[in-house]
Amino acid sequence: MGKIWHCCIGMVLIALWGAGCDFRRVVVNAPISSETLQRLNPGEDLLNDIVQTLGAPDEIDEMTKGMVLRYRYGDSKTMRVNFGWIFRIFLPVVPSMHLGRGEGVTHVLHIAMNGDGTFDHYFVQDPPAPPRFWFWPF
Amino acid sequence: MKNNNLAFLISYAVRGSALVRWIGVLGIAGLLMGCAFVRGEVGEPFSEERIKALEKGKTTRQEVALHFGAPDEVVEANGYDIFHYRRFDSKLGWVLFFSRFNVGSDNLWVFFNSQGIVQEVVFGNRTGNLEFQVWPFGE
Repeated sequence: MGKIWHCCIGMVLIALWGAGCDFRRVVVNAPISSETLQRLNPGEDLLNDIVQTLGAPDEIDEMTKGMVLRYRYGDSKTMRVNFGWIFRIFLPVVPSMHLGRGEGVTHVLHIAMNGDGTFDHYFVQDPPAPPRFWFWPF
Repeated sequence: MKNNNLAFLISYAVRGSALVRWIGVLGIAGLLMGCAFVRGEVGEPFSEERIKALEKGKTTRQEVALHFGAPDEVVEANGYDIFHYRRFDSKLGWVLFFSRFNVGSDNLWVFFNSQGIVQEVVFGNRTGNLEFQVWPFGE
């Protein structure tokens, strides 16, 4: 067989293999970079300065003195493989033989404001590990 | 003669240009899975005019509720009553076996003093830069 035939067969096999796979990602809002956070000045910046730098928060909570602004960034990845897909070549009905796994994380940024309305401190609550694509659920 | 013509057609299909081959591959792939672009919105967009209409030290709580409706949430913090309005926008791109679903939120916070007059307005637009993306890897 010629080179072109090999190429065509390879592409069809890749397409069939790929058709049994599924890569999905869900991203909620954009992450805030650490350089942006370093621009904040404790005891000086007011609410408007914070908002100009970081945007409006997702949540505001009360503290004993002042308040806390909370920003959230979510990322989740799901991968699924249907091992039954390959049987569509031989069988009229495609059996469902899925293995899949999803991982999701949320990054939370806390901005604490003093009772006089000035910026006090920030804290980034990062998840232990970033999400990854992997199909093995066990 | 007929055999010669058939051989020519087959050889043309197999040896066709790169474009023809790619169209064939895309056709096969398209038949296998397909693609989708979907958008979902929750809440009405906050127009600039409506936000500019909120005047600090003048606009009352009732006027804010009249312009923006009932708030999604009312928070009490640092001596202020705060009305919170949210809007969500989402864009899903799905081609063959790759998909990415981007969600963005706009938040409007209106701070009132003890007299129920607007003291501060905080607005952030994160849906303006939201894109349709398909590739799930990387950033």
